[in-house]
Amino acid sequence: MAKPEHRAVIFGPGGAGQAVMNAFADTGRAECVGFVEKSPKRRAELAKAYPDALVCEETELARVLAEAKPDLFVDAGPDHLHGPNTILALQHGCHVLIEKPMCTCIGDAKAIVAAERKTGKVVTVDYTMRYSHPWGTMMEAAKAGRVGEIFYVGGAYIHDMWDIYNPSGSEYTAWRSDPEHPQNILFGGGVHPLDMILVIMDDVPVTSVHCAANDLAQSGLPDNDLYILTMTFANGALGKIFVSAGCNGWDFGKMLEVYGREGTLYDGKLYRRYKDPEELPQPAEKSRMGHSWINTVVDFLDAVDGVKPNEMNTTFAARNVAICDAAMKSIASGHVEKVDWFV
Amino acid sequence: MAKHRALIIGPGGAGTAVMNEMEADGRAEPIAFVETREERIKELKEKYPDAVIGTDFAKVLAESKPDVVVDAGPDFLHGPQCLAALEAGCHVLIEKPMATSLEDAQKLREAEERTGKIIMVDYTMRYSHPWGTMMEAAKAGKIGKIFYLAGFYIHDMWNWYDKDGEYTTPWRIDKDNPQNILFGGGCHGLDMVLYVMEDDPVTEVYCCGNSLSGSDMPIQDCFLVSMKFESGAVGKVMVTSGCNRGDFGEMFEAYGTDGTLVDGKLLCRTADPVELEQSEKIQEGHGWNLTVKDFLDVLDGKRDNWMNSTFGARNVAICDAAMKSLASGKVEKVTWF
Repeated sequence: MAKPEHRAVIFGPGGAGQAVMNAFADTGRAECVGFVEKSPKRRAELAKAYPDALVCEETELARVLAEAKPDLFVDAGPDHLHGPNTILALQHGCHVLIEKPMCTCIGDAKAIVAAERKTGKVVTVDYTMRYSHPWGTMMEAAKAGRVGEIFYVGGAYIHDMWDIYNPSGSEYTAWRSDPEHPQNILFGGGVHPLDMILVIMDDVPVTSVHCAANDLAQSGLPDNDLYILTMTFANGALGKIFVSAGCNGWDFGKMLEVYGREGTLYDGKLYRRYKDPEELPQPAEKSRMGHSWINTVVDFLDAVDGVKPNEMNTTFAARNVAICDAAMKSIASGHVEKVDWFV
Repeated sequence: MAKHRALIIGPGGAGTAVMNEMEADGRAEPIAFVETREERIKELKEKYPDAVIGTDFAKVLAESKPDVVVDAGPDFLHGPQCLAALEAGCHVLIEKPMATSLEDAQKLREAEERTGKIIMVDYTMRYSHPWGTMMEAAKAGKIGKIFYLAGFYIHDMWNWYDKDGEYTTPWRIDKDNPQNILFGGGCHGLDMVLYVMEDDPVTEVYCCGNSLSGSDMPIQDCFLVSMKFESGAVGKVMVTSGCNRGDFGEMFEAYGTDGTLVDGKLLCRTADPVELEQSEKIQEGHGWNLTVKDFLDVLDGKRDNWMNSTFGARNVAICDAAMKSLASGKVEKVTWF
């Protein structure tokens, strides 16, 4: 068997990171040569499973990059580290695959975009929901013009994350509810539908946002876990993102809806006046609901190898971060805020 | 002879439904009508030969001397007409919205207090399943402390706005006084939100809107309103009447610390979703028959006025603040009743 073409360092080989590692192995196109992991137990597992790889603590990324000499860097660690980690990896000559969000502030987004341009490397941000059915299918239908000119588009991240936030939960992930750097679930979850909205609206800038939030759900997240974000696009269209991670008993409801002059996309169906609703068929390449890391990895490697364009690129990601960043400013100020748009 | 004598303004869809229900109930009879459509006037004269029928509300009111006025005419007239009705000693049943400006809502409240007469605003969706059922479940505390609520009016009104549409209603798209579908449609979902949150004031709103759907409505037909409650809870109202769907979408949802109410179901973390059962007092679609019964029961002192002017005025105040927000592009404070 031929040796894989690419050498990867994985930061945060947990759920998403492990899925990417599996996809590298399945495709045979990349091997894992280094890991950065906070948990001693997990580090021991990795050292056993990958005896030739360098396995280090969370503070040792620079050493791993220098010694393991990867050409790929995968960041699936805590969201607030994505920015500095990605910039460091680009400076070490790596292409980067970032589990969404690209970063958690507009300053990091600008720095990543600048580093990407300077180094000529590829940065792909994993918006895995683009590959899911029915949401990704609806996104593509809207993008293909099936609802005509769009006047309203709504996204939602409605995900009961109690089991993820709480130590007694079945999927407890300590970093998400870390009191010092809790995950911001607008950046970390709202990012999914917001990405699909930005793909659909493509060249239409979001000019202003208003955001309201609260932390009343008793979810275990030491930060706001509910957001309602209103966006105005330059062409007059309206957008909305609703996020609730403290909701009770509801997983991944209604991630995208699109209203156009000629039709409405809602809950996997295309509605048109005077016609029966049409169930959108599931394309072969789209997975039913949930994550689809294998598609992300293949597309990332294809982009690195120049086989196809980088569709989940930093322009979309930076716009996404810019909107969330403006939303956070709106929460703080109580006012409507302008968006620093990336072109 | 019925106990109550009713003047009906706008005996169209809602007005006719109320008339029919009054007659079926037997406690009220229509004795006067305000109507502008010649064909409808002819029909009314044939069916009610003794009724006073005219186009001028003040004249019909003075001549017919009712004790009840039902206002199912154009929304922007609800305020001044119902004010005149109260001043003339009538109880009023107003097809939602109560009024279309904060000033009119304030005047109606003052007149109600001064005259001692009753205002009921017909929020008919309170009686509809599953939305009214969900509203009652939230109100009953089934989802614990509420942190988010949303109301929707997703209604393809092409057939109402288009002159060739099946339900064409010219007053809605009148260029001088078009119906504002936030007041006229969004008020349904908003009413359920306000009913559930009752003693928790809305402190501020932000609203944006557009008119890009291609419908014949000469003003905005799409609105997005976000609201903050004093408790910290967050609310939203989404309205589109130019949508291309051909039906009503969802109308209400509520999120609480112990559960979520969505699509007629109660969701809880530790249990399977529960489909809410339709109660006897809740039905599908509009509940005009139930409104009329409740209105007459209120007049007869048999029940409390649960669709009272406080809810009506709060609803108007939020929509009024939303329109100010739309104009200013800023967050606006709400005058709370």
